[in-house]
Amino acid sequence: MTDLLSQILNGLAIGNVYAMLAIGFVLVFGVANLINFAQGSLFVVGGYLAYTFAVLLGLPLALAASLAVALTALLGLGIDRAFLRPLERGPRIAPLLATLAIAVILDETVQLVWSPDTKPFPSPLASTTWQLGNAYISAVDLLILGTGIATIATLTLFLSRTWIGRAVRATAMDPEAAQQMGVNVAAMRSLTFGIAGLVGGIGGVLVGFYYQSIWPTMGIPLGIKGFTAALLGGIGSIPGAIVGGLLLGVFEALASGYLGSIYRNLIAYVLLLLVLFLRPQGLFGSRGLDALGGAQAAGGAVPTTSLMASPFQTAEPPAITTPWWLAALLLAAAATFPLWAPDSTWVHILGLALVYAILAVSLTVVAGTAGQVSVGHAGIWGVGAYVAAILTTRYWPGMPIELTLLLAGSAGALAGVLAGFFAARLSGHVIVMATLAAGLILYSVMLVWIPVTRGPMGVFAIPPPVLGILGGVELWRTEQLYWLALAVLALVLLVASRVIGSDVGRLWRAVREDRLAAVASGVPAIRYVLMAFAFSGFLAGVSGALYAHFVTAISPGSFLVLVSFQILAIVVLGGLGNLTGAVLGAIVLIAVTEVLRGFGDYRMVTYGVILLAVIMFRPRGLLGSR
Amino acid sequence: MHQIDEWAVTDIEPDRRDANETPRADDVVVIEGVDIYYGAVQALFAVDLRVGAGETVAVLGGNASGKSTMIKTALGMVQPRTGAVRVLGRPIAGLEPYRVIGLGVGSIPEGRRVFAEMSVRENLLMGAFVRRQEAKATLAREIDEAIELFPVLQGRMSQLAGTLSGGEQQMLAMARAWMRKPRLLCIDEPSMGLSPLYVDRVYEAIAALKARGATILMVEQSANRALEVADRAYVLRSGHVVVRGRAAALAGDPAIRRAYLGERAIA
Repeated sequence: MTDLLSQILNGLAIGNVYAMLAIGFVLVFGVANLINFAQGSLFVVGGYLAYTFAVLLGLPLALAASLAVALTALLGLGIDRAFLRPLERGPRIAPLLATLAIAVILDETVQLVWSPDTKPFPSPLASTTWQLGNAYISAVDLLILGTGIATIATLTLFLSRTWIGRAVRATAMDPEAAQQMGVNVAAMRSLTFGIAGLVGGIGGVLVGFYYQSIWPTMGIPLGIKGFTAALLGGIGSIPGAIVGGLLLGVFEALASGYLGSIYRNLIAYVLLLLVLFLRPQGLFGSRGLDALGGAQAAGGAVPTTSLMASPFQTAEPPAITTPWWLAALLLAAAATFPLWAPDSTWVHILGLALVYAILAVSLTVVAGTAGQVSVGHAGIWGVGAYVAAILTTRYWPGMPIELTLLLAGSAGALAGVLAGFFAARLSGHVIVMATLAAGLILYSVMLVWIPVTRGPMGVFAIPPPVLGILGGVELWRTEQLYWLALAVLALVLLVASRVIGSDVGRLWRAVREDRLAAVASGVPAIRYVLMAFAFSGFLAGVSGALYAHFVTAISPGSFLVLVSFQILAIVVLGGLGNLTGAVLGAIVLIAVTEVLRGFGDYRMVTYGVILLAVIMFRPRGLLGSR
Repeated sequence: MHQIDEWAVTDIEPDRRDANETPRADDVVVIEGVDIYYGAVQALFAVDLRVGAGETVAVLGGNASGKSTMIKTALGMVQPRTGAVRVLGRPIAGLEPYRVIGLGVGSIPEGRRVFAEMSVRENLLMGAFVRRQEAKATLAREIDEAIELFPVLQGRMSQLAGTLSGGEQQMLAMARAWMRKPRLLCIDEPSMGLSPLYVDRVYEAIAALKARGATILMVEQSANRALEVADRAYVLRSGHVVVRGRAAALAGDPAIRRAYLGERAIA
């Protein structure tokens, strides 16, 4: 009993932090109609700034925290001004991808500046603990609880009782009507991003107090938890966000108390998917859920029209297509590459790029053609890789690669359907969150399911693939692997272009362009979205199996969210839904990575910057989208 | 009877044209030779319009005639490619809509657009947003006056606006604009989607506001009701002003009624 109450109090403390994150999401979602993926990163920056001022510069903790909070607020405001507002008139997907890119840039910059190590965070109070009836509560928990409640109360009063606060809410509900009341909606938008940064900064400092340490990769899990809290309460409602945050905190504390702390993050991801599936309008969402749209449509915010479409009419640059002779020329060059390559390292690099190209094709089908932007593909890819690795190392070392690819592909398709199962009922940006959570769950399973996956150790000494149709030739030489990858890619491209050009592909595009209209015309949208995820998952699984054979050792660390992001960058660079673009994007970006190997630490930042630049200046990708 | 040329302006009473259409120094709205484009599509073609102080002017026309664009032009929500717009004596070229509101304009947008998740009182306060520096007591008194003027809001001050019926929301939108104490009131399609009972109430309210000396620019599809309350009217067709004149003269001209105002709507 004592234990339970203590757990609950502890959960309420961290729940306060989640509530703050959730408020940031809700405010920005309302005013800018955008799920800000960089919200978790603002937390991280806030925490690190406070750490720098307090520990490295030796300022008093209160002053350090205030400075950090102020700077984070400015950062939030600046991000909107510099990157998000210019995209308001672009395709709907552009600001979303921009916040993803900004999140990666911020997280990676934090790693570069402060190193990837966990830093001890100064504790504001001695580690006193009080008994409260039956429960124990620490002084730090009380401080977090107090600060959180004070922040939330101040914010609530501001929004409900002041002229400007009311104007912010009015802008969130209906910017055009607010403007006709004389409200400067652009200023309200800036203010909102500033407030989101402010609560982000405060939250970052409180997280530091809670764990007594900070680390750079905490942004993504925290971002997801904040979003989960916002969704749990019904996205769009500030009281809902507070209750959602507290509930999530308590759930998590109980789960890690009774099941073990390894489940701490997993519980949030699973909860997110469950809420999305069972009650996407949230606990307090009272409006009837749109038959199609899920949480976003319930909020009435995102239309069912294409993410690729712009809210304003703009001339679209035509998609660039590859003439057949150029394709033939490129294929000939690719096929003979091992013969004229300077050395076998380059053959290996380009071979790996071809494996990534298959993954990029997989993503461009589901994200581009079917309009379901997935950031869970690294997890699906990993499922394919693990299936191939485990089968060939443990059960049948001479298994023909044809069979391996088929099995890995099937497993990938299954994982894809699993992710799609939750995403298929949703629309807009929520799909991104759902697939992100699905990918993280797959990653967590790889980490936790030790008897099968060997946990963090991973699987190594993966044997070379055996080609069945040539009577069991072992493909152990680099160029043999390269040719295998090239052959599979050619086959994948052939199949994918046939599927995209078929009736199924046309219906995928119909669902992407206007889901409501597609459903009204009798298209079973959910079934077609699931088909897209299955097909895409199959290709991702195939790519994963090839990857396992290429690198011969895999571990959960190979399938981080960053890989999903990298592939998304490739696909966006090439133009969503553009197969040629996906292949060229993979080759260019992987080659760039290798060229940049010398300064490998900057690699992900570079990806982020490239992605952001493409979104800003050519939102339909270099080759245009179809 | 008038000969009706395809796109030229027909002055319903040519002898009164100068009196009606010549801009004056104290005009509240003057739109001169304005072309409006949405991307490549032209919505208004060299239109002129003026609203004198104390006048009620109606802009009539069917779907896609450009009448809503006309009110958006006066509010600065669309920027003309050519021509000039003056509101309350000030050219509004390049002015953000919220600044146009700041000049002394109140707006009742098409489709009511009340703030659904705010209470009725908060909606009224949003109407007075540009007057936020004024004394609290003044605003509180004016909220009471708004309730007198729009009695349907009585006793519902803390109800969420989204839970009101369509007609009640229209009343709230009007009360909200009235809280602005506007020197020009812009009304976009006040009767759209309302029951006949509420159409009556809406027009009673407009007549009451007019009686209190309000200057009104309104856009309306159901011509007969608008012509009852308006002093003058403009008829738009495919982005051109095709007829203009005193409301009474327009309402009394059978050729005009048949050609532009849709007999059925009037009958």
